[in-house]
Amino acid sequence: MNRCWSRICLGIFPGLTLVFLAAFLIMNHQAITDPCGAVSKYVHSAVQGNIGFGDAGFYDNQISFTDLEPGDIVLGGYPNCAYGRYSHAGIYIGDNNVAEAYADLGVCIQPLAHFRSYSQVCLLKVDVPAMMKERAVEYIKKQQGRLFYPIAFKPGDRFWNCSKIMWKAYAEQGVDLDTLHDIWVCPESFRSSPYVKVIREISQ
Amino acid sequence: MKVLTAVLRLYCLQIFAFLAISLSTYFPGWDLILSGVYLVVLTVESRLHSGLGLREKFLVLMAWQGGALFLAFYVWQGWTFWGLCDYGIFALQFWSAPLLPWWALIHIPLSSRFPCYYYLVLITPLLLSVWYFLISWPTTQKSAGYCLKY
Repeated sequence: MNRCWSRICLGIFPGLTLVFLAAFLIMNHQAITDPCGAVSKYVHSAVQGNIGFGDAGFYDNQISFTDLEPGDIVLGGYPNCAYGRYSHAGIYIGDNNVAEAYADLGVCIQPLAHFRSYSQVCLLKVDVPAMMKERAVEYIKKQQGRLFYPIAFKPGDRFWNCSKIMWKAYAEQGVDLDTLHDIWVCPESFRSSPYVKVIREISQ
Repeated sequence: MKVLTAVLRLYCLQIFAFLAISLSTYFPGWDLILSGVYLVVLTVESRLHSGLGLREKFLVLMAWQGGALFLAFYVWQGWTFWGLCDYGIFALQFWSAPLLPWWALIHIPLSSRFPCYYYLVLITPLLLSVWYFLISWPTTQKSAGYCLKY
């Protein structure tokens, strides 16, 4: 009897991993095998020794935040980020504040000025009616304190990362900002969305 | 040898639970079920270790959760040596992944700087250690015979 329990304990999660991996691969084989997709990009970066959000620091970029309206998106990036040029995304909510998500703070509201620490910043105007932008901002504000998980997949509303919360806030309004249609939403994805226009971009 | 086998089994459980539960978050709802399965399996596994002595159990615990306990203390203290400060909380989240689906359900507004789940992630290694220690405690004379035959 003990040997039976012992084998079950040892085998159940490797078995479940295989089952869920198979289901995941079947549902996402195109995104995973896409050479331009997030998975390929991450594997390529990992081979080059880059596995995280890059060389964090205070780069003191001098970007101007004028022309931002509530609901617009701010992207930030450090050199050698593993998942694209931009590693972080926030949504401007007015009064020089931005709603975003971090591993330790969860979904939170922070001063916009901290985006000066990035070496690369991009301000994106979301070109949708003002009402939609207001609703998107309200949606994110309601999620304050929610859990951040770095590998938050697109389905579900209990695990968030900085770009998924933004994508979901607009998806709830019927606007899909994700152009890459990957298993995750990368900050990079917003920049090429037909719903946005670049206000300003700076790279150091 | 008993201690080594026990540690390897717990690592196997922890790593594959992390993989399975992380993948299952793609299918919302399944992550909660798998997290429940993890608690059941950990409980059964801990009972299988009830034949181990106190010192052996302590060694198993230190080998299994010692690193995570240290990392949790490191993050909590805001230390920066060894350059772990940026990625410490990420590593702890991955280590806590088997319980993360439950922590994601608890959303209590706190007046502190950090959200509720942050503290739950930090105490997860401690909770798992206490759980293992309590469940593996021999309750009867017979429990010694309930131990895993290595």
